[in-house]
Amino acid sequence: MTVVWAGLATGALYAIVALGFNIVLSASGVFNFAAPQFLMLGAMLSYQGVVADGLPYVLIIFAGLMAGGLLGVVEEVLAIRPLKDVRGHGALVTTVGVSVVLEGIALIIWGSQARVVPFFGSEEPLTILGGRVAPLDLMLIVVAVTLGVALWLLSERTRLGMASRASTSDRELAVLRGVDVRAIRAGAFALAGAVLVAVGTLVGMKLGASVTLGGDLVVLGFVALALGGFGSYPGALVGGFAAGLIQLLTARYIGDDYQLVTLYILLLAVLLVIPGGLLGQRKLRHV
Amino acid sequence: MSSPSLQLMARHSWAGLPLLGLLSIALPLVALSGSGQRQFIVIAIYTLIVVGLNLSFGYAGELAFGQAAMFAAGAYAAGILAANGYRDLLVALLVGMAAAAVVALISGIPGLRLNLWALAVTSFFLVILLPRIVSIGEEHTGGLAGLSGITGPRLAGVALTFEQYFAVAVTVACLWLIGIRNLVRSRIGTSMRVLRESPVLAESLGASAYRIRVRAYVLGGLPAGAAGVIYAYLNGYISPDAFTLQLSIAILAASVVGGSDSIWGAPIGAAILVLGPLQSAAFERYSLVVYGAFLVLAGVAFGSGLAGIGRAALRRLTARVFRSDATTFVVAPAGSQEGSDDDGLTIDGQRLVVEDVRKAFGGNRALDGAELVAEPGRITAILGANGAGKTTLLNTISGFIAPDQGRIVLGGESLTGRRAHDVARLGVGRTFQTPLVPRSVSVLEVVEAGRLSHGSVGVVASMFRLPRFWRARREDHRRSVQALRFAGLEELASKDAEALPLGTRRLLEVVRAVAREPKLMLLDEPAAGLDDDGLAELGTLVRRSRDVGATVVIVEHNVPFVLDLADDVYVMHLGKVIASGSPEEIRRHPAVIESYLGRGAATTTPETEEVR
Amino acid sequence: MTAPLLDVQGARIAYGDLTAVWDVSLTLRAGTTCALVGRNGAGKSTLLLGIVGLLPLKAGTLELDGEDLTHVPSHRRTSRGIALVPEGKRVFRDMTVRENLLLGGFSRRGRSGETQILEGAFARFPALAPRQDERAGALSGGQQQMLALAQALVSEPRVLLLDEPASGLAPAIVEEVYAAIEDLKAEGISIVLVEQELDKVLGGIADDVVLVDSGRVVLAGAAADLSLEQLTAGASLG
Repeated sequence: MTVVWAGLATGALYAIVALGFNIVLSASGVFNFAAPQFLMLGAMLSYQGVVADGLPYVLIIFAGLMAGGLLGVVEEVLAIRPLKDVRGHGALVTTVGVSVVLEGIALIIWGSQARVVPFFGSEEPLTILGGRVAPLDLMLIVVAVTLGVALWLLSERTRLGMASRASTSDRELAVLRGVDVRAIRAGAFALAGAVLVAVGTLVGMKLGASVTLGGDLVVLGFVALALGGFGSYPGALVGGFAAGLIQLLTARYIGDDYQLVTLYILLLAVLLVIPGGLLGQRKLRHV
Repeated sequence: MSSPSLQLMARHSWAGLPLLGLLSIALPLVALSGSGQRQFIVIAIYTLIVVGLNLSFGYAGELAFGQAAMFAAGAYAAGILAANGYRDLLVALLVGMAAAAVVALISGIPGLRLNLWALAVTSFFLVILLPRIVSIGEEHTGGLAGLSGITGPRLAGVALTFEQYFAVAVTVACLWLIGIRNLVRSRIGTSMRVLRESPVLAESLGASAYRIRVRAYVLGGLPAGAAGVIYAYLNGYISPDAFTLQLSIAILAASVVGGSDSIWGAPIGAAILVLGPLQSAAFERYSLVVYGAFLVLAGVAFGSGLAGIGRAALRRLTARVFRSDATTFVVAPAGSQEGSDDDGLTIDGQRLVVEDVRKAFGGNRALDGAELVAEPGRITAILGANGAGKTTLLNTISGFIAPDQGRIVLGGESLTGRRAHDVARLGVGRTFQTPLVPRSVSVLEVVEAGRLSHGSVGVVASMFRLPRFWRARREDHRRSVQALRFAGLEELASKDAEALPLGTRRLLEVVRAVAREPKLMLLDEPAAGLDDDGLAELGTLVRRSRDVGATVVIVEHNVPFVLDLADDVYVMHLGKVIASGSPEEIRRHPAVIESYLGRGAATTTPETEEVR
Repeated sequence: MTAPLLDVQGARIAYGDLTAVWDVSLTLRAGTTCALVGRNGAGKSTLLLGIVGLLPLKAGTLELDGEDLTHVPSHRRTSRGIALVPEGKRVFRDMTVRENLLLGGFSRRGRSGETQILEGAFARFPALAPRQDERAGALSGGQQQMLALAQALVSEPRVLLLDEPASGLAPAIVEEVYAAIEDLKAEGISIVLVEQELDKVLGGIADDVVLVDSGRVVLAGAAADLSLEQLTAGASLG
């Protein structure tokens, strides 16, 4: 059962990344490769603010929201808006470029050393349902689920969510009905940026604050989306948790070296057999 | 008329690379020190990796990070062979490239099946996995500690000195550059470029998008495998630390800076990659930011890198030296050239039968039992108002849409349910309303592209320029010039296709279809937006095609144009054919008048006929 | 002499290097219906796209009730009172009927509640009510067109642009659609109607007719003054 908790905790991270991808994907059809780097920035921010400068966590989270939102908009304006065909190759290259730039800037500011960021709560593991789980992990799981539910509600039950779904369903028609499609896209980037940086402060406490944090998560977030369905918030949760569980169960019962390899094979299998994912209504455009 | 001197230069440009190759072997051996020569080999190694990426990314448009994995595959292949006593360089190269191909296939196929995002991410994943995979196969690969003892390369039994090794390494790089260049300037290269501009166009010309992509990805990995082998012997030692994501990103950046869609871009980018960090220690620290910024700029501006700048400069220079004349496009009326009874151009048109075809999209019945027959040597027109189903029918025949029910047969062969590229291969040529003309391509090349799927010239034949390749190329050229002459457009053969006026580009689409020796020609609203002159030229060309035996099916809105041109007319309404016959019969048919003018007009029929 | 509600002067619109509309002027008086006719490729749909702002005017002006809208971005023109129903039964296919209708009201900014929007729409098009939770893509062609119309009407436009509302529909449904358009006329909405079915156009629905060919106005006048012969001379079977 402890393994299950560990799997869920890791899965929570993947789910969070997948949710971050989804926010932009379902509002504009763009896959933002750079999203996990926002998590990384959040982690570095919490190191800088809490450990180095001794500021309270709440302030850091708030600063993260602001900074993340702003950075998200900057990314959209510089790397997405100028593109002619947003769903094509250009966006692939530019978002990879942004991802690299963000990592590079972080490297210049903080160097390549991994840092520890202490959790603000207790470090004592709790025993729940027969398994041991650290309070930080529990918190991450709760955050992931809450975020997923909140985003789902935002998308399905609010006017804004409806407008953003409309703008990916038929962009021109949405414009004709008064939806400012460009603002929605910029807003999605801002929201994703803010959320990811804010949650990143927490993630840094689990994974340590290192500038390479984003790299691995890109892939695993994608795996979560592929499993659960591109464009689906519940899918991101299901896919993320499933990926985490499978990974840790593999590590425990088969071997440490095999955990990522298993996920890779799973990803290939899913892409070949059910490109839409388990819950997904949309496949990433098939050309 | 672009100057003959320029054409001469172009035809012999192939000589440039081997010449440079010889120089790049000879000079460093004489001029550089040992460590300088080592650097040169490193540049050659990166050139190999980058040129492969240029092929799959620059030409075919597939972004992927797998090069580091294929590089690793080659290196470990060499290392494992060496550890087991096999040190022959040729064997190592072959095995290394094969290993890279296997890695490419395994990682590429699932990703390519979905779309390009998936390919980028799966290849990214693979590189991250490398240390794990190496660790799993520890007994052979030396695990995370690495594999050493990769020394003493031999060739045909003879141990190589460092100078000899240098020569071999640089030769391999040059051979691959030439090979990829040959590939790019062949039908295979054209199909990649067409695919990148418009997958729809590629499919309609008979090229399966999926197969092209897989092929480009695997071919792009082979030189990386070779690079891995060379690297292994250069270093004597390999470990997973050398094959990181960092490397993949650096390769991508080198490709972009040098110019992803150019062969010359590879050595340029590689040189900058290797020599750049040496110039300043600070560069190392800022390298990521610089690479990333380049990527963003490249994606946004889609520039062609340094090679592109060089090419543009060269073009401007030669344009000034060999002045080309004014751009007046006077299309010579077809048949006015000397000795022009079409050079005996004939088209082997076949009979098309469409039976009871139905297609529904959700609750909307786009095709509701459509039927028609088109005979060779006749122009069959399909008329109907917007939403009548004409274009859906055309898309169904050409394979872009699969019908729910019904049969489509061409010359006895069933087309029903076949995908677009298969249908195209079976001899169907179609045009599109918006002429799909790839960038910076000459008129002749546009027409030649139509023959992409004619017979097949494989990768090996293209790369090694076997006789089969030259035969096909000559035939392509002959047929294309013949088709251009047929349309009276021969004068424009070397002009830039994009710069032509709309009417001429429309004609080009038809010419491209003619050059394919099609069994069936499908023309999709070719008259839209044309003025009277354009319409006249189009009509002439379509009639001539019919006269030499083509089966022409034309979908159009422009009723007077069609009634004047067609031999047989079908009128569609709500997915069904409501009338068929000669243009005369159709002009009078009450159902036609009703569907065009509405019920009221039908009752005043006698008057409307006189109105012309 | 009332000032026109919609006033387009000298519009020029292009797709890349292809100029589709050269120099078209069109005025619409409040409460009237103007029919825009001509053969395909003549530039009718392009003109509508220019009026609603999806294509920029390379030259010319556009005024609504005296207000210059020439440079107003497209998504804001709905709130100013112009709505276009594009050709081809266009709705948000993966969203429900209800959501489609609510989206029509997006620009109204809560001026009236969701219930009112839905009630109003169902009153006009009762056939939609029992299917309100279904995906729009699952509706029949006729119902989709009704939905498209209903969606545009939610924004309570002063000028409604209709691009071939009858295209691809069975005659019975066409009757329904035109009955609905007649009701709108009766309510005082001003309409620009692009239509190929000429008998509909002259059958009383249009007050004015503008005949366009190759991007220019060939003929314009009150429907009462024009005959079918004159129109067919310039239109389809010309």
